[in-house]
Formats: sequence, C-alpha cells, structure tokens
Amino acid sequence: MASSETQAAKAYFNEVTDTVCGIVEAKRPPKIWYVAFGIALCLLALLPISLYKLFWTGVGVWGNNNTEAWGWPIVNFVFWVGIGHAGTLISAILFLARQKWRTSICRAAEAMTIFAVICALLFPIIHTGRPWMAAYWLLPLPNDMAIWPQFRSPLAWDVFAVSTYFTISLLFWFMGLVPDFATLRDRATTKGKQIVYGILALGWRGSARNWHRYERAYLIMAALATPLVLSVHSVVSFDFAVSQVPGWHTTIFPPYFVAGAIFSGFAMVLTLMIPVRAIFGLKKVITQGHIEAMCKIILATGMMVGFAYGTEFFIAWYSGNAYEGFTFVNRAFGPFSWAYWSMITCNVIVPQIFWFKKARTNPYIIVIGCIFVNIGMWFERFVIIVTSLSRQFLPGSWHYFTPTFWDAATFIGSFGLFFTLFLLFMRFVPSVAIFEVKGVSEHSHSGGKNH
Amino acid sequence: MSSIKNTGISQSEVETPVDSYWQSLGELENTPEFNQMLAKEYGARPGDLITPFNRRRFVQLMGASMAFAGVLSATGCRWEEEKIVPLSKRPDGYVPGNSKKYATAWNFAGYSEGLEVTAYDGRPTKIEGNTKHPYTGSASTTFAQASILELYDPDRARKVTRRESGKSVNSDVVAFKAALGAIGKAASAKSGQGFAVLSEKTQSPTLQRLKAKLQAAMPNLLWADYQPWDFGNEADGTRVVFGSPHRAHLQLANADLLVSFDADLFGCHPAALSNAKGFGVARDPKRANVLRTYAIESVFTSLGSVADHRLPARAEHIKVLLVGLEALLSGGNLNQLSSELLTEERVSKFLVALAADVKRFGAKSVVAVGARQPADVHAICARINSRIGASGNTVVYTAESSSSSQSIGSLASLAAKGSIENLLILGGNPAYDAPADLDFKTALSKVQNSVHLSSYHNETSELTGWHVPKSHFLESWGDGRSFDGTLSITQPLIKPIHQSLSSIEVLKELVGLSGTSGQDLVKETFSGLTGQGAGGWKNALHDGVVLGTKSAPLSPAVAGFTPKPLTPSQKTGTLAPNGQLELVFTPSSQTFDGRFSNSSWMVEVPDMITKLTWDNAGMISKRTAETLGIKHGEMMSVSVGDTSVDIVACITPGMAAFSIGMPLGWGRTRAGNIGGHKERGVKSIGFDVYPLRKTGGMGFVSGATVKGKGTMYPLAETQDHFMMDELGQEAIKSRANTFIKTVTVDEAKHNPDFVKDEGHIWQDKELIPPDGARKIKHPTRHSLFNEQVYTAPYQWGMTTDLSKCIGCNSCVVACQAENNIPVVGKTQVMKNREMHWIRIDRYFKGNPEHPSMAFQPVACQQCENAPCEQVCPVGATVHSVEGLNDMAYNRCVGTRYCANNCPYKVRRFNFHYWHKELDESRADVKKLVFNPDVTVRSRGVIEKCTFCVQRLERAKITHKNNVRRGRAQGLLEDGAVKTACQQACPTGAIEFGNLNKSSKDSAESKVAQLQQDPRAYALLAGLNTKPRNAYLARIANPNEELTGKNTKEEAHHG
Repeated sequence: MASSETQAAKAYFNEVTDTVCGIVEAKRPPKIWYVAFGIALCLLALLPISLYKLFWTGVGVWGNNNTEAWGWPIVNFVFWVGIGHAGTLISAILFLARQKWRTSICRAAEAMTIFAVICALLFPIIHTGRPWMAAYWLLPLPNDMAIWPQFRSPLAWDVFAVSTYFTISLLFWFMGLVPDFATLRDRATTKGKQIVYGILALGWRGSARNWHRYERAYLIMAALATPLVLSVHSVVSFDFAVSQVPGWHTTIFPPYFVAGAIFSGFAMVLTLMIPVRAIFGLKKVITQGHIEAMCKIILATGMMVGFAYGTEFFIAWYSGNAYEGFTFVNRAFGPFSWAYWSMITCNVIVPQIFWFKKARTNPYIIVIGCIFVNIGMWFERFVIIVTSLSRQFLPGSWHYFTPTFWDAATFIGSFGLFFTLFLLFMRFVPSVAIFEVKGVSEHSHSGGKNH
Repeated sequence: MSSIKNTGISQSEVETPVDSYWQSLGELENTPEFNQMLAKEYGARPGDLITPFNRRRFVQLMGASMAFAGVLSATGCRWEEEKIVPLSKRPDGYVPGNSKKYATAWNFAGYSEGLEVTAYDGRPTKIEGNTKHPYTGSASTTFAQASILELYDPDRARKVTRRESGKSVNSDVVAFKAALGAIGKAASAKSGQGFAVLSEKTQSPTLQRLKAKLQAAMPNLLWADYQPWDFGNEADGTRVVFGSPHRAHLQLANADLLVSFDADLFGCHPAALSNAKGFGVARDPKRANVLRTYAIESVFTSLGSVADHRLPARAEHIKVLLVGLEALLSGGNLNQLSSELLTEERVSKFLVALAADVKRFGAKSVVAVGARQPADVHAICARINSRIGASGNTVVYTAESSSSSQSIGSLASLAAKGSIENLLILGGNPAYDAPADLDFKTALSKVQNSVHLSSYHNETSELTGWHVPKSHFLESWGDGRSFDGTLSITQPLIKPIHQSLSSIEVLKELVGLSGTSGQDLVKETFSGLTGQGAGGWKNALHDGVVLGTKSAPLSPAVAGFTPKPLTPSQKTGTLAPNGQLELVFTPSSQTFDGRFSNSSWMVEVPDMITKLTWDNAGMISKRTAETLGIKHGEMMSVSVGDTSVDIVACITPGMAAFSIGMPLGWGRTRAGNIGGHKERGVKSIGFDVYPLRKTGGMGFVSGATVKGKGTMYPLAETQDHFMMDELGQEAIKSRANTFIKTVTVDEAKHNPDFVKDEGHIWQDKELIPPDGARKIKHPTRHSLFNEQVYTAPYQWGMTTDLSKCIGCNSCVVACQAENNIPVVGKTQVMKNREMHWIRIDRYFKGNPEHPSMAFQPVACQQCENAPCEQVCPVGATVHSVEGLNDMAYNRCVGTRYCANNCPYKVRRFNFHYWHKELDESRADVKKLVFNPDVTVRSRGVIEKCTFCVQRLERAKITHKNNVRRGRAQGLLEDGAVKTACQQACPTGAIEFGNLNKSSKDSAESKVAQLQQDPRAYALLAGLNTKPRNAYLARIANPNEELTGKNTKEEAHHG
C-alpha cells in the first residue's frame, strides 16, 4: 500500500513538475500565447508614444486643470497599487494564516503584484510637471544644499511606502522562485538555459540545510511583508485623507482603501488565472476549490467596500459639515453621478452573484464578474479623486472634468506593459510554485517538509 | 538679427521688419570705419582671406553682401547717424538694472489719463496711474494697463507701406513725407477743396492747434471726427436744455444717492476712474450717509452690479422711465403718461420708491444717463438734476467745446460722390467700425489718394494708398486733457521701435512746420496755454500734469424744452414679440471698440459679467432665450431690416427682457495673430456686430429678429454658467452668503459684530441669524502643527473691501503686467487652465430675470497655516518670516498637490510651456514687456500670487539704504509699497501693508486698522488657514420700501 501510495505521490509530483516546467521548457508556447502577446505589445506601444507626447508638450496633454489638478494619472496610480495588493497578501498573510490553497496561485499573484506596482510607480512620476526633477528630489538623497524632502507631505510618505512595498514584494517573489529555478536548471537541456537558470537559482542544492534556512527566511519575509500589505495602501490613502478636500478628508480611508485594494487585487488575479489555467493546462494545480475560495474573498471585501461607501455617506451627513455633505450628495446626484452609480453597480451589486455556488464555479461568470469589479474599482478612484476636486469650497472655481485621448492612451499603455510583463513571466518563469504545491498536496506526508 | 545667424539669407527675407533691430550696429552697416578696422586687424582686405575661392564660398559671400545691402537700404531713412557708444561714466542717478518711473499720459477715446510708467534701462515695462494727477490718482484702467503690450506687439505695423497696383509695397518715411508734401501743396492751391482729414476724437491742444492752422490755411478743408463709442449725445442734450453744450462731472464723493439710467459710469466712461474713486469714498460705511445706488439699465454694468437696487429695462424704455421719474418728482403720477411699462407693478413700485428717495436726499442725489441714450434723454436728466438741486452740488457742469468738425457721415457721402481726392485718416479703423449705412469701404475706394496713420495695418489700411505706422504714446510727444480739462503732457520713454510717426508729426508736415520736432510743438502749445517757460515745462514733464488747468465750473440755467413724444414701442410693456427685439450695443469690456482685439491680455481677461474670454456673445436673458427657444452657446442669427449677423447666445442673468446686449469690437479680419487676420489665415475671434449698427441707432436699435441656428459654439467661460444643475445651484445658494458677507447699513449699526458670528464651517448655514442678535460661541481652533510665531518687523497683510469692488478687472490686468503672467488661449481657458493670479468670482443673487450681483476678487490668501505648504513633498512652497507663502519655482517638481489642497483654488499650474510663441523670431520684441524683477515661469511648475514680493523686497532694500545714509528711520512708511492690484484699483478696495502692531517705530498701518474692522472676516475661516488677506463685508444700503422683496431672496449662482 505504502509503495503504491508513494508511487501515486511520485506520479503526482512528477506531473506537477512536468506541467509547470513544461510551460517554460516547451519549444513554443501555445498559439494563443502569441495572440495575447501580440495584443499586449500593441497596447504597450501606446505607452512610449503617449510618454513621448507627454514629455514633449507637458502635462497639459491630459485633462488635468487648475481645479482638478489630479486626474487620470493618479486614478491609475491608485488603481494599479490596489491591484498590486493581492500578491503579497496571498503569499504573506495567507501563508501565515496557513491557508494551503494559496500555493497554487501565489507565484502568479506575486508576479502580478510586481508588474502592477511597476505600472503604479510609473504614474506618480510622469504625472509631475518636471519628472526629471521629481524622480530624485522626492528621494532623501544627501546634497550639499542640505535640502530634504518635506516629510510632512503624504506624497513623501508614498515614496517610502510604495518603494518599500515594491522592494519587499520583489525579494519575496524572487526568494520563492529560487528552488523552482533550481528545478529548471536541473532539467535544462541547453547550456544557455543552464547558465541563466543556474545564476537565478543562486546555487540552490536542495539540501536539508538549504531547506531549513529557506523556510525560516521565508517565514521572516512573510512576517515583514504582512504589515506592508496593510501599510502601503493606507499610506496611499493618506494622500487624500490628510488633505482637506471635502470627500478626501476622512478617517475611514485607510481600512477602506486596503479592503478595496484586496478586492481589486483578487479580482485581477482571477481575471488572469482563469484563462491561464485553461490555456496552460493547470487545472489540476489551480483547482476549483482555490477559485471558489477567492470568489468568497471577493464577495467579502466587496461588501466591506460597500459598507465603506455607506459609512462615508452617513458620516458626511452626520458630521453636519455642509461641504462634506454636499460632496457626497454631489457624487451621487451631481454631474458625475454616472461614475458614482457605475462604481456602485460594479463594486457592490455585481459581487453579490458570488453568493451562489453556480456563479463561483462558472469560469465565464467569474471572469466577467471580476472584470466588472476592476472597472468598478477604477471608477471608485475616479469618483474619489475627480468628483471631489471638481466641486470644492468656492463655486467660482468649479469645473467639469473631461479626459483627453492621451489620458486613455497612457492608461491603456500601462495595461500593455502589465500584460506584456505577465505573458513573459508565464513563458519564462515557473508560474506556479512547484515545491509549495507539492508540499501541501494530499500526497505529501508531512505538510511541506518532505520534498 | 537673422542676417547675422544666416548669411545666406535672401533679399526678400532681409526686408522683413525684424531687421530694423540691427540698424544701429556699425558692423552690420558695413561702414568704411568697420572695413578699415578689419583691414588693420587682418592686414588684408576681407576678400583676401577667403581661399580657396570656390562656388560655395562665392554664393555665401554674395548672400552676405546682399544681406548687408538689404540692411542698409531698409534702414537708411532713420537713425543712421546713431552709434552704440558705451558710457565711460555712469550718468548721474542711473543704476543699471534699477527701474525708473516717468510721468506721462495717454489719450484714450479722446480723453487723457495720467500715467506713471516704469522703465528698466530705457525699456518701459509697466503702466500705472499717475499719483500726481488729480483725476486718476494711482488707479488705472484695464486698457491703460494693457497698452504696454501694444507697444511690443509683434503685429504692430513696422514699415511705411504704399499701395502699388493693388499690392502693398514697403516704402519709407522720407518718401511718405514727400508724397504728403505734394498732396498738401496741391490741396492748399485749391484752398483745401477736395482734401479731407478724418481724425479720432481728441482733446490734445497741440493737435487742435495744428488743426486750426490747417483749417486756416485751407478754408475748404473737410475735417471730420469719428469714434465708434463717443459721448456726443450728452453735449447735444445739454445744448438743448442749457443753450450750449456742457459736460457733466459727477461728484459722487459728495452724493448720498446715485441714480443711473443706463450709465456705465465705472466702465466705458471718460471719467470712469474718477467716478469709481468717488464711489469708493461715498460707499465707506463710516460715512454719515452711505451712498445709495439705483441702476436702471439693459445690460449689466459694473455700476449695476454694486447698485442697491437694479431694474433691468430695455434701452428704449429708459426714456419712459426717466420721464416717469420726472413726473413723480414734479408731483404727477405714472398713469398720466399712458405707458404700459409704467403701470407694471415691478416698475411702478421701483419708480415710486426711487422718486421718494430722490425727494428725501434732494440736492445730495444725482441722476446720470448713459452715452447710449439719445440727446433728449440727456436733456431730461439735466433738467431733473437742476430741479433737485444736484447741479453745482453733486454734478458740476463745465463748458463742452463746440466741435469744428464734420461728421463721418458727411465725409462718407462726399467721398462716395467722388468729391474727395485726398484723404488723411489719423488713427482709428473706420473701414471696420464706421456706421454700416455709410458703406465707408466703398466711399474710401473712390478717394484717389488716401493715407492712414495707425499702429496696425488694419482693415482700413488695407484700402488706403499709404499706410504709416503710428507711434505708440510711449514713443512720441503729445498732450491731452482729461475729462475735467486738466492738461497733461505725453512724453516718450523709448525711441520709436519701428518706423513710425505720431499724429502731430504727420499734421505738422501739412502746416509748414516740418522742421519743428514734435517735442517743440508740444512745448510751444504748453507755453501758449500756460504762459510758463522752461522751468514750468520741466515741472510739467516731471509731474506729467499741469495742475490748475481744470475747466471752470458753470451754473447753466435751464431753458424750457419739450422732449420728443414717446414712440409706440417705448410705450409698450416688458413683453415684446420676436421682430420687435432690441439690440443694445455696448463697448466690449475687453476690446473696447475693437482696438484691443489683438491684445492677448485683454481678450483673455474674463468679461466682468459673462466671464467669457476670447469671444463676445449676444447677451440674452433666460426668459427671452426660453421664449425664443435659444440655448446657451447656440449660434443665432440676429437681423435688423435686411442686415443680419451671426453671433453666439450667452444667457446672462439681469439682461433686460427682450433686449440683446451686443458687445462691439470683435470679429476683426485684419487685427493680427491674436485678433484674427484673414490673409495670414488666422481665424477671427468673436463676432463683428458693427454691420447692424447704423447712423441713428448707434446706441441701440429696435425691431430686431433673432433666429436660433441650432448649432452650438464653444464658449470659454472662466466660471461655470448660471445654467448649472440644480444641486450645484442649491449649494451655491447656501454658500455664497458665507463667502460674500453682506450687511445692510442699519444691520451693521444694530449689530456691529455681525461678522464675528461666523465661526466653524459647520454652522455656515446659520450665519447671520435672522434676528441678528444670536451669537454662536465656537471653540478656539487649534492647529495640529506648532504654529509659526511671526516676529519679523514686517508682517504683510491685505484687506479687500467687497463694498467697493466693482469687478472692473483692473487688478487682474495689472497683476498680469507686473508678474509676467502668460496668456493661454481659448482652448486652454476652456480646459480651466487660465493663469491669472487674481480671479474675480461673481455671484448672482435672486431671480435670474432681475438679480443682484456681487464680485469677490480671490488671489492667494497667504494663509499662516497654509494647506499647500504641508503637502508639498519637496518643500517648494514655504513660509517666509514675514508671513508670505513663497514659491520656489526652481524647487517645484509639479506634483500639484498644493493646488488640490488649496481651498481657495488660487494656485496655477504651467500645464504647457505658455511662452512658446516667444521662441519665434517675430516675437523677439514681445520679450521686452517682461518685468525683469519677476521670474518667467517655465513648464511644469506651480505659480500663484506672491503679494508682489519683488516690490516688497525692492522697497525694503531701498529703505535700508536710506536708513544707512541717514535719510530715513525705522520701518517703511505705510503706503510706501503697494501691490500691483492695490495700485490699479480705482475704488481703493484693496489695502496692503504691514500688520505688525508691535513695531514701535511706525504707527499702526491702515491695513492693520482695517483688519480690526468689525466688517473684516477671513474666507473659509473654519478651515483654520488663518489667511493674511481679510475681506471686508459688503455693505448694502437698500431702500426699506423695496427691501421687503430683496432681502428675502436667496443667492443664486451664475
């Protein structure tokens, strides 16, 4: 019996290794990869074009103006940072919470996080009037003028929060990859691959000492990354909460933003993983159960976000602050009400379908629902940023915001960047954490210690 | 310039006017001295240096020599004797880089305005009012402010041109003078028969002297005066009632009651500055009787905006209303006039209350009638003023000189007949703005020789034989009289930048004075008028004004006269069918009569009522628009008789019903790169409404038909329109009263602390409780940060008195000139990216058909707890020890977080490189307009009001030096430094100075006292920003008989 069990386990382990490594080792990826990559490259092409236009003519290419000094670029920034939440949350928090189902998606989710944060980092830099200055004056670099960033500004906090988050996420992701890079190195058939994967594997030998150190380090990293998941979007929310713009100046923002970030992050993971799992035959690895668990998280965080919307509205009224009250009524019934109701529909109403098992198990419904959630989360940031700015205290400077072609082109370009990076990742990096999946599988005897 | 950069330039390119910059450089002129020097330097002729001599080099050399020849030929007529000689000794009192101020004056629409002009190293940069001038003081109009831009306008004509077989060819002054001499000779032989001069109206004594000389030499000369917007109706009216023409001078400072019938006293009026100043004085709440103002008008004027009661009425109804008022004052009633309008409740109630008030205030009241109204309305007005005893008291009459000029109509009809051979047009643009029925263009084409003197090669110059660029007033000698008759001298601050002549310099050629310079002619006139010699002349130049030359007041007796009977359309009520609509022509607050349509500053400054930039629009009331089915921003076709004009509709609250306001001075086809230029393919801005304006209907015309065209036209408004969603309007209704606090004179006396009731924003809704007595106690607001303690001796502060703001935009343009503020263009204004550091928010209140209006100038409030400073990640905006919120442009990276966090929305971002046009070589001359003390901001940085920090620093440095030399003590005197906006403000609404009271050396400044005034309040005080600017609540002085209605009305927005 034992031997047949061992046989079955071995077969399963081999299958996992073959499936995951197969994607990377295949001579050619599936045709659909080429199609997707082609589309992604086309979208990506918009990015350098819009950046060229932007740097050549100035921030005026966008719809931003003196009333709405922040527009789409900051909306996009918050949107991407939000998406960049799922990965680390899945890897770190769920790791600490011993949620085994996380293993199948953690690698891809982490990669997605890193790419989303790259897209996010792009926007605050390019949205400044003089990015060539902003890129280093925002950093605390010693200089002979003894001028430092202004540490009271939430934007300065942002720099630290987002860059720390990016660094930790990148390290965490890379660390998780080391044993799998070693697997690829060992299976490599060409000299080139051996060298490249060999370097990336950092001399991993799979020894017990290796594993011991590795597990400890991974745990520490997870513990380090956990507060960052909460802090980064809290700090991003401070950009708004610390200011005194009615509609921004609210204490609810940090938890509300974090919930929203997890919400949108999970939606993005599902949007990506469901097609990936079908295309690359990972259905055995990323199981139905995993997907259902994620749908439940989306449902939960969606309701948290919905609750926050209600609370915001209530507090705006309850505070008795006429300006705050007006801002919220204006969101729902003013000139931008279309954006507000799009947000409510996508973020509060659509996720309710996940109460139903049928919806949670139908990949089409899940993907469509998740796309709606992502649209809704983009609108949430638009509603917060643009509608609040459009009508502040003095009606003499009220203004309706109209985006330009370049607003859209830059945003679409950032999607191009994201998808391109993601598709490259799928092709050249093990997209599922092989050793972790093995470790938590039913064939594993000792829950992750017996590889 | 280009000839140096690129020697291979073609002859035709060299002929472009840009080259005139280089005419005085010896080396460019290829003088013998230069060649000799070269020979000495190189020991050979320049040609010998070129080896080997190939084809390429040959062409280069030929190009270069042709270019040099071009420079020579283009510049030979003027200044050829000049050399640039470095100063071996510094002239006394001249410090390079320091500014100098000169007094001068300019003639605008016929009347002179005293000016003080700042020049840096011989380059005038900023125009201000002449403090020594009794009529203007330190204030100045927007037009005067903007005239500096005209001096450096690249579109100004740069060369004398001549028309040869239909084409315009370059000529020069010498040739022109010869041609003019020949014309003059031929004309005098026929004692002026067939010779005509068409001049702008002017009060210049020298010009009048030359004119008299010319008329004496040529008795048959036809001299006509024309100005599209003039004040001749008043002279005609007073001639009827007093027997001779008179000029009415309102003495608002003495008045307790002002009644304006369609009079734009603070806007396009020759005494606008003096009227505004008087208003500022009379509106002081500390005065025993605060001036009460009634305005009855068709188009909202700045006077109407500050009036305590305003009745919108069609321009044609003004006469009926005035007749009604006269009837009431003489004990009659309104029914006797059998006018439908006067029986309408709203109107009769207004007139009865008004008449009662006029009786109450008697000789302390004054009635004024606008230039638009026909002569007999002015006559009735003069009669009323005499009846109530205002004459000699609140209105002073002086003699108006009888004009010895013909009208443009008689000139045009003679020209059309072909009886005018030679025509000299001095200034103006009659082909564009003459009454449409004269068909001036056709008449002009029948004149054999025509000469046009004007600063631009405009619509008229296109049709004349010669065009001579007219010197700017900063380039030429001249003189003039202000509305009250005070003589002032115009002295040049710079040599003519281009080939140009002044009117005096042209006329003198015709009267045999070609040898005498303009300066000598003005000097002669001066000594002739005043009997003073060189000493007096020097004083006059120094002061820019000759005191004691005011016209003598007269006390004319009223003669009996009967005004023309009322026409049927005047007797109708408010309602009018389409086809019976009225068009009211009004000078544009931006382009005046069209002369500023190429001034980017003027076309971008928002119209005070519509807040519209880069266009004019037919102003139409909401009700009228609804009746006609016209939407805001819809194109409409407006026709009178068989003439029709297309113009965009702008729904304007407060427009009289069934009356359409038509601003003149737009839709130019040959203004320049800003205003439109057909030949260069530059689209016109705005719509030309002159085709509808005919003799007899110059002010307004009835019987108009309007048809909506269904097409929408984009309007660049700086403030959202009245047609806002209801939610927004409701919010404005509840907010506006907290921003613009208004208190009646009585309420202020009853509860002097009314403004202090403002506290936490939470309670904003309950501000100024109805009973006026309840006080809300609020906790002291604490800051999260350690608040800065201000100990520096200077603590700058400002107050803005909303009682006195008439929305005239002087501060906006003055700030633009002082602080090098860029112009962004129509599309950018539509994107809400205008750069003005001060904006004037305007709010409407009450029923949109007859609202009241209030202005609130908002610049940086210089908060002590500045929200912008706390959020800047690089510390580019920081606080100075003197309480200024400073901007370090070099440090700014443009995150625009500060702009978001500024509750007043006064921060402006350079979304693009707004000065791009300066990269073109043709715009080189425009760079000269910049104030060298102020950084020209580049792309990607935020800017905003600095409280004119450059002026503060300069004043402090000067003062410090004076203290060191023992010439002064202590701190700067109060009033020694003024911000640009404060200086320009005609009503004195803005006060600025040192708030520091602890300073032992100086008395408490005016601004410090005003900030203690019970009316002082901070905008959005609840945010605890602690602004250094305080607003003074608006004082209202309504008539109790009418308030029952007015005070209950809530704020609306526009």
